[in-house]
Amino acid sequence: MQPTLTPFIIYKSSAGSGKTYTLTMEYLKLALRQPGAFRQILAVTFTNKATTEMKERILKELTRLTREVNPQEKMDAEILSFLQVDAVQLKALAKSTLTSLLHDYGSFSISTIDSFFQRVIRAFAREIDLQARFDVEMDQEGVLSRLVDRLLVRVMEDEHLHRWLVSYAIDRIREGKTWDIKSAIGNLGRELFQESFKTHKLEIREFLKERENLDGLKQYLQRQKSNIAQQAGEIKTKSNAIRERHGLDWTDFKGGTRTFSKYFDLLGDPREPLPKLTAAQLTPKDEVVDWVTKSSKKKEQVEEAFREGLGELWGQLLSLYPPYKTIEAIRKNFYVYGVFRQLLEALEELKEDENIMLISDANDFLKSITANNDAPFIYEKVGNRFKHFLIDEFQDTSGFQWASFRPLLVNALAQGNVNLLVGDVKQSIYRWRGGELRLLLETVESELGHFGIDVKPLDTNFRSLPKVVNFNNTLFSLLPKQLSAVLQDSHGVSNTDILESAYKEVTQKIYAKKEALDFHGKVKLEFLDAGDEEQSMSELILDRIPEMVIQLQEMGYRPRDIAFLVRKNQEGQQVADTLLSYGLSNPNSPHSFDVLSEEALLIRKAEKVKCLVAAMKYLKDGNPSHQQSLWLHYAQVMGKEITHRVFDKENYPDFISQRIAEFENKKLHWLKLPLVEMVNELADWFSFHDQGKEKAYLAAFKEAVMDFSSKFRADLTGFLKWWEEKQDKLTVRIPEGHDAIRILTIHKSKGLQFKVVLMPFLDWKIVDHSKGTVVWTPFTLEEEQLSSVVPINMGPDLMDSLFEPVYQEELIMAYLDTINMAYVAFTRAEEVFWGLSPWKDTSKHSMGNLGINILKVLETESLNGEEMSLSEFLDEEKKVFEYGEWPAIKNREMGVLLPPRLRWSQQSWQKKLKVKTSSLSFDDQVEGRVEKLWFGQLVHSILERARNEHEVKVKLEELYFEGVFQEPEKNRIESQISKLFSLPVFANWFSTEAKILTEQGIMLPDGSQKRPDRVVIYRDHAEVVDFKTGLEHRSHQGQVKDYMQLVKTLLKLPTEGFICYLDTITIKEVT
Amino acid sequence: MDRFLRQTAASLLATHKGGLQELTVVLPNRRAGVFFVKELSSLVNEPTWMPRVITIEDLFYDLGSQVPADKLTLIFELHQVYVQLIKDPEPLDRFYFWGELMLKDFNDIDQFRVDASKLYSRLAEIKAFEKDWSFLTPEQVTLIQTFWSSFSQRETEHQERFLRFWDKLSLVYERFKARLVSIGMAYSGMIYRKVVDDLDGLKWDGGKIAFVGFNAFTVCEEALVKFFIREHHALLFWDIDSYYVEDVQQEAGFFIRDYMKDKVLGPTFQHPIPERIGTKRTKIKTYTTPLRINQANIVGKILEGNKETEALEDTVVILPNENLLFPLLGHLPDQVSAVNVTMGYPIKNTPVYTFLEAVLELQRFRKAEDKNVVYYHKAVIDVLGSVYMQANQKRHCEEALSYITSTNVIYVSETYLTKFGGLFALVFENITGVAGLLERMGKIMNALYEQASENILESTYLGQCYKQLNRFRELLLPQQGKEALPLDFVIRLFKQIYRELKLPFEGEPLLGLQIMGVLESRNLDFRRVIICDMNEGSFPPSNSLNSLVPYNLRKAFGLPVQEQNDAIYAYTFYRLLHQSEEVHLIYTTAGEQGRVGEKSRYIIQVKEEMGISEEEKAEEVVFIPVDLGETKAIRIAKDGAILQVLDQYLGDGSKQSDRALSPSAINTYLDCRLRFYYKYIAKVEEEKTVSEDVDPAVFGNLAHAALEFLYVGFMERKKRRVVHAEDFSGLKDYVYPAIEMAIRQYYFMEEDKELKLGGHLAIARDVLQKYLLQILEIDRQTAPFEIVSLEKSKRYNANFEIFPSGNAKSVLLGGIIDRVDLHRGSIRLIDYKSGGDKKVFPGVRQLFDRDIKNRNKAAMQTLFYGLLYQYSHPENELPLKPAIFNLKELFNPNFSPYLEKKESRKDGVLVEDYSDYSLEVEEVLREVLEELFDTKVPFDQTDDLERCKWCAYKELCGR
Ligand code: SF4
Repeated sequence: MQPTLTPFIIYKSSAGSGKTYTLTMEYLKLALRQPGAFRQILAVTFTNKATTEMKERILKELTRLTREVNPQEKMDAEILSFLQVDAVQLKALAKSTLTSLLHDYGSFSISTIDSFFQRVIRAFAREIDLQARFDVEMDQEGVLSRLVDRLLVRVMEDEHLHRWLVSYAIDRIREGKTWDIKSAIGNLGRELFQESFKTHKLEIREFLKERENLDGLKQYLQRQKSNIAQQAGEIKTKSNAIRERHGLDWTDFKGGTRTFSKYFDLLGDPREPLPKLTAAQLTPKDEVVDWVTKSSKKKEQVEEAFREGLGELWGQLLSLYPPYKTIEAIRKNFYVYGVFRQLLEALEELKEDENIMLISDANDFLKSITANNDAPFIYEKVGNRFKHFLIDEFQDTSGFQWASFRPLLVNALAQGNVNLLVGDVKQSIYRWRGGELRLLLETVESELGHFGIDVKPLDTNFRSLPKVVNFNNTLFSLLPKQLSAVLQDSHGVSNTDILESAYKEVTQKIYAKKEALDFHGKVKLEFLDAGDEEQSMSELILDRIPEMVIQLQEMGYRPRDIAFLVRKNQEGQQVADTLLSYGLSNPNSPHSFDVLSEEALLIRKAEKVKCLVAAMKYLKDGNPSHQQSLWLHYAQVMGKEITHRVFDKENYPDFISQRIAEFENKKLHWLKLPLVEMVNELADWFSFHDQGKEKAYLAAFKEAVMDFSSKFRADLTGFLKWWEEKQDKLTVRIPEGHDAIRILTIHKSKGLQFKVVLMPFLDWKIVDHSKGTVVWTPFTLEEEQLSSVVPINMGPDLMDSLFEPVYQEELIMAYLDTINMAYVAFTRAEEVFWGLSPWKDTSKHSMGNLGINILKVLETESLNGEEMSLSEFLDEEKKVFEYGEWPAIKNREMGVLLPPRLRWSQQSWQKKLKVKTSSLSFDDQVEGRVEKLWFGQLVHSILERARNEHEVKVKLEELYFEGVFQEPEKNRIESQISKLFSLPVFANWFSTEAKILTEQGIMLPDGSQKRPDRVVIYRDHAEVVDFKTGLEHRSHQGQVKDYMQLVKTLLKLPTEGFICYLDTITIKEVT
Repeated sequence: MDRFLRQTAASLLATHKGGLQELTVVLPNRRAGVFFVKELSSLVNEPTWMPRVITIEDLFYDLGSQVPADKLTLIFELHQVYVQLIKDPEPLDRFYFWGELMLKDFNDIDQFRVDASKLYSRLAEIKAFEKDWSFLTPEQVTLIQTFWSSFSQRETEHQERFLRFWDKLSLVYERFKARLVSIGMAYSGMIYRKVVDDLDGLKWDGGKIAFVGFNAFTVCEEALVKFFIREHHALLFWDIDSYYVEDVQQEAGFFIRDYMKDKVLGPTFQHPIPERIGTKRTKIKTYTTPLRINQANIVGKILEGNKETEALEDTVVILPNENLLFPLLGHLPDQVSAVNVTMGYPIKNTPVYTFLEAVLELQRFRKAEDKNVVYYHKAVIDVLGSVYMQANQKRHCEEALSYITSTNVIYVSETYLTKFGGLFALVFENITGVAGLLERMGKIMNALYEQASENILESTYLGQCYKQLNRFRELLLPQQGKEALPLDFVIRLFKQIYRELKLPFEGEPLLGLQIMGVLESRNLDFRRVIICDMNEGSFPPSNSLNSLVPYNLRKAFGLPVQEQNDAIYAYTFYRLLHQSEEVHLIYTTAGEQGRVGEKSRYIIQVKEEMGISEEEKAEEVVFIPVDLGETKAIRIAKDGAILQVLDQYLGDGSKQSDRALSPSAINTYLDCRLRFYYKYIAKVEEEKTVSEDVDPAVFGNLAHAALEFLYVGFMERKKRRVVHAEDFSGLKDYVYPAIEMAIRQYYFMEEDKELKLGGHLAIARDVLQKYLLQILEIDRQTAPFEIVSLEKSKRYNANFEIFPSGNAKSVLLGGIIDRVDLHRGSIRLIDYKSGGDKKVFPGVRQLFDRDIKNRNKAAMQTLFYGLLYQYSHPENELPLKPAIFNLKELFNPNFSPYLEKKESRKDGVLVEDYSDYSLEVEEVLREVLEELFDTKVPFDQTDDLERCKWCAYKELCGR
């Protein structure tokens, strides 16, 4: 008996906690119950790469279990006890499961969420009104830009749209922005693909359908604004009246030249009725001390003026801000919002025209499918029935994805089947892509709790050394508290529980095997102080970097053990440049400064590729600048010096002048080659295949050309356009074991681990409003009876507005994002974590970035002794935090990488192969000129294959269906044939009386074959027939005589021979 | 090695001593036939009749005396039936792919002899099973029930949609077949089924028959084969191995195991089943590489190891994915002297075809504009860029392209384009309807053919294209009569059909290295087998069973499902191992479009199950080191040639320089020395494109021109230079015409033509109007003023002394000042700006300091104007007041156009007179120019990458 168990398991994992191991184990538990059980399990991973890894891992463990079972191993022990079998039985089970899996591999379902969704959608294509065939479009930016173009084309027809956009443009210049609305539309237009918009799509569409609604809202905004302007104007008048009455200037009030009170004068401007005030200014000034400086000469007058109502007026002024901020927040996106209806229409059109489904629509479709149908029907349509779902990286699941999945999951749970989610809220860093960590944190448990949920923490860290684990345990217990305090203090946000609840279970256990090692790991954080020096902070940081790398290598770390983690690619590039130039200026250094940044992996970075692209551009349009570019890059590849002569047509250096004439000569030749061959021949002509570096880049470029050619119209213009758009995404891949320092963004580092992690830029801003986060927010105007959902840009301006709660929520999540990013980064380290951050005085400085908050945590002494006290390790003098010792120096060997065994040299295929030139030459076909030769050949090919008259007709049809000729020619051929059949001799050859051999030649002992067109065998004699086109020729006779001779010997019958000339309809007997 | 076909040939020869003329040999495909004949020929020692060698398809079509019609025709016919039976049927273009699916299903139904009326019925209730369903096994019944029980009591919307369609399919099937019969057409399954249904009456006079090398039969094929066994003692030759036949887990033996148990087929097997895989030691090696294209390099390397003595035809390279063909052919080593390729040359990749497609696309982007046909510029440019247009009308292409870019036409008219004649006339002349389109395509192909005459390859492609066009025309034109086909649809169809078109290679099929697709390798044996793309999705290919019949129903009714498909591919894989001595399996870790490649299940199976050594299990990882070459910083030293160019800016008293350095040249030099070099010394041209967007530079140009028209017009009308406040109400009426004039001038539009603007330009025009009106408003407030000069009407120059390396030289400086006017006793030097330029600057020196990030270029420029003006008018004693009218601040109520010098933490000072700054300006400018003329300072790249972002030369610099 197998034990019953809670059907629903949620694994809450942490960094390095053996998530894949656990998933594999759980998968095997379910799969090993019966040989075919795996068919009903679907494991869902987040990326394609994870899919492959997961499959490999399962296969590996399964294979292992067929050979050895080790009850000491956790996995084996759990499986044994779960299945209630012994080791021998388990081996047998593993064997049979492995076999059935390998031979029904298609049912081995490990897939990304997207590809599973797409499968379902394809199965329902007809029911949800999709085409039977459609392409899934991944490139949303491309769609967006085509979409905006379409919108602008509509302007030519749609007068209202035209006027709307013009007023928008003018509105923008009035506000001192560029008039160009295109990018603004594009920016907000991106929302079309977001779930946050789609959730409200129906309401919004409904609202925008009526032009009055939009006009109503517009008028409301204008009215409100002019109301406010008017009131502000009155305050201005009144305040000035009071001031003047007392003979004062505003500078007489508190603050002097910088007095807040001078803002009274800025009120009531219709463009900006209320000035921007700082937070300090935006407070009530109800006390006389707010207005007057003690030492003021006009103290009395000022006090008088205050009493006469200035304080009150200030109060009135403040009360104008909340409504003002509210309407300004709406106004900001109002014009683009106004064209969302047209954008949606244009989007539908575009999808229809291009026959595409946007990848972002997959979730919508799936949601409608699973909401609409019971699970069994879905499975029937898809052709797979799943009982068990294992979902990985659940913290990154979006609301729509969850909504789509839930019905299937509920169905499986209701039948008592085991289902499993794995995730870590702390590593949720994909909120910007729709990831909704609350699902894992609370939603799932509250929604599906009634099935009974077994929440299991994975709380041992198998990745990092003890000190690293300890440090992270402490830091990430304290950091959420610290940041939550900052949120409360400086933003007045109260409900910050989520920060702490997400990190409730952050403390991990140390893996015993790591504990047993000599080296226990190290964490070092340096807080750099720029002091009064000229040097900027980033220079200070960058200067430090080579030293760090050197120090690590001295301790025996290989370059590939070291990774720099950064938030932005640009920072990564700085690090790369620093190391590169350090390496160049220290050529004799025993250390390696080889780095691989994400940027350096771009295919377009290679000079060979640049040269080829320039050459292709030059071939395309002959523009001399491309010619200059191509030779410049050629010079770079060849390592030549770049001088003026490289650009000087009259006076090219030898390495160019020797080649340029040939290049110019070959232009036409290259242009007439298919793209793939063009690139090949060019690269070959430049000798790029055989010599120099960058072969990986060259190969990747060629592969890109090949991909393009197979997917699109393979022309040069199109390719270059495509390249323009794609070149910043196409990269080469780093071979396993490549010995270079890695530089990567935190996002890219997810799921990876490194011996040493360096983070030189730890001090990022926690909330970055430059990203322009948009939140779709319900908004109701009771008086106007208008209500809709409007796009609001998140920013501090929303404080005090109607939208403040939304903003605060966004702040909380932004804070959580930052902790999560830090968590992911810090936990990548196996042995050493080393970070740099600017030193700041935590008592004075604002707490808006991560570095200072970490410093603050480090400074705090442990209060209750629960946590380790980090401050012990902080040297306030040196401004360095150091926990743990460096490892003993040792030499770390690296496996020798053999040079690849590849053939590089290249040659044109045409040397070895020719395309079959059709006997049906073109001349013969055009304009109905069916020339004799061709015509005859057609008749020939029909006759030679047909045994009887009926078959002649069939063959004729066949050729016709192939498109060899058209109706009129068909008729002509038919009449020609029937003329032939009117000759009795001819007709006899097709009679059913005799035995007829067509296409059946005679084999000769030398391996050759003779193939007379026709051998007609009668009882007493045989006839050999050969059909000929064109003119009679003496050689024909000889050929047929040969045939006759052979046939005669073979059949031992008297044999006659005939040549039938098809064009002239004459038959010659051969004697 | 004892090749299967050779064995078979020998055995047939042995049993047919008298010759094979009475024998028909049926093989799975033509290719196997060719090899079979070769084997036979090599075995005879006297002249011998060949047998008749055909494929099983041929046999069916022969027996049925019919060939199938092509897919397109069939789908059209199907649609005819469909519209009569379905409510709200889709039009043909939306139907097409659904039709394709239906046709495939119908074909399967017939091939597998399924009762369509039963398949396509609702079987929600068990009752329905009672009568007539006895042919189903209980398992089949269960499958059917499972499917139908998934329907809810009350049907959901999707279920209802499903059923609405489902209920009609049986009728569609019947009527469609009836219709085909009545017009004498058929699809292949239909022929098969007819042959098998009429087996009783079948007369066979073809003599003895042998079926060679089959693995999986459809129901019809099986019936026919059995018929021949029973009635005509057909011989069967199986190409199998006990490795997968005996092991029931091996899907490769799926069909064979059934056949062995069959009463009729069973006895045709010869026992014992050969046992080669797993016993004979085949050497297996697996390679993995990150890029697909590098598989070609690996194969090249493997083949390099080929010994001269070895017969090339003993090696096969299997390409599951034909994309790899050309990379592979390119990397073949020299010892591979002959190649035989079964795949064709894809026409779609040839420039000839891409040109044809561009011409077609043109038609999708055309529209009628008052009686005139116009084409979208991008499509036109695509066509004009083609080598075929260029080859014989190069000059015309250039003219047309420059017309399009300079006038920025969004839609180009037919009248304009066709006037060039030649190919232009053919390509751009208006076409009516589908017939017109197809006829035109024919003519274009013809014209291309005349051009290509000496290029055999090209004329061959064209011949093939034309052949296809004929057929297409034949098919579409009658259809067109019945239902107007949308042009878009025809174009899409055209593209689709042409994309599949292949041109066969010439070559002796039996000689040389063999390169083929997976399925073509059936029945052939090779000593060395190299398989590329051993990835899931390629070999075996991804699940492609697309059907309107849900899985369980297909299974219940015996229609093929994925299992069968898998079995067929597994067989083709293992079959290759029968006799090979050396097998190389290559897979890639990168899939298409940046996806991840997954290794084929066969690799895993082989490693797990074939008992190969650990050494053989190890995969060879073939990577290419990622070694970016060094891009050297570009520093162009000033050599003689450069100095000559620079000298053109110099005058030496005797000779006047003919070129002047403008403020923008100096700004360029300050931004980046190399950029200055590119632009002014090497004179690298910038690319011109048609842009539907009005970028800031264009907008600025239009604004300048319009303002100039406006005030020049004013002066001409009023015959005076002074403008008064009262003049403005009148001036406003001229704003709009001035803008139109500016646009016409900028885009070279003829005056009498009506102005039609694209969306973005239309908006820009209206914005421009606001902008001008606002400038007028500001001018009104400051009026009166007297206009001294406007833009182009006057150039201001200055001969400026510098002393590079101690020698005195005189540089000519020059520039155009947007507007100079006299206002309240000052000369204002006005610059219009459309960007966000600022008027505040910290000091003169900082204006010329290249290291300052946000150097105020506008302030530098207007101060420079001061210098120019003063040099041009040494007599001037009035204050010179630089001013900037910048769009972004224009609407600010406190707008002031004047420069302000403001050091940090100090109060700003308005620049009232250039002369207060002239000494400093001249001094700093002199330093800059002396550096420019300093032979020792090279032209090098800026360190500030931000500046490269929008630099026109970033491609050259590779930044
Ligand atoms: S790309 Fe950068 S370095 Fe090159 S010319 Fe332009 S600004 Fe100068």
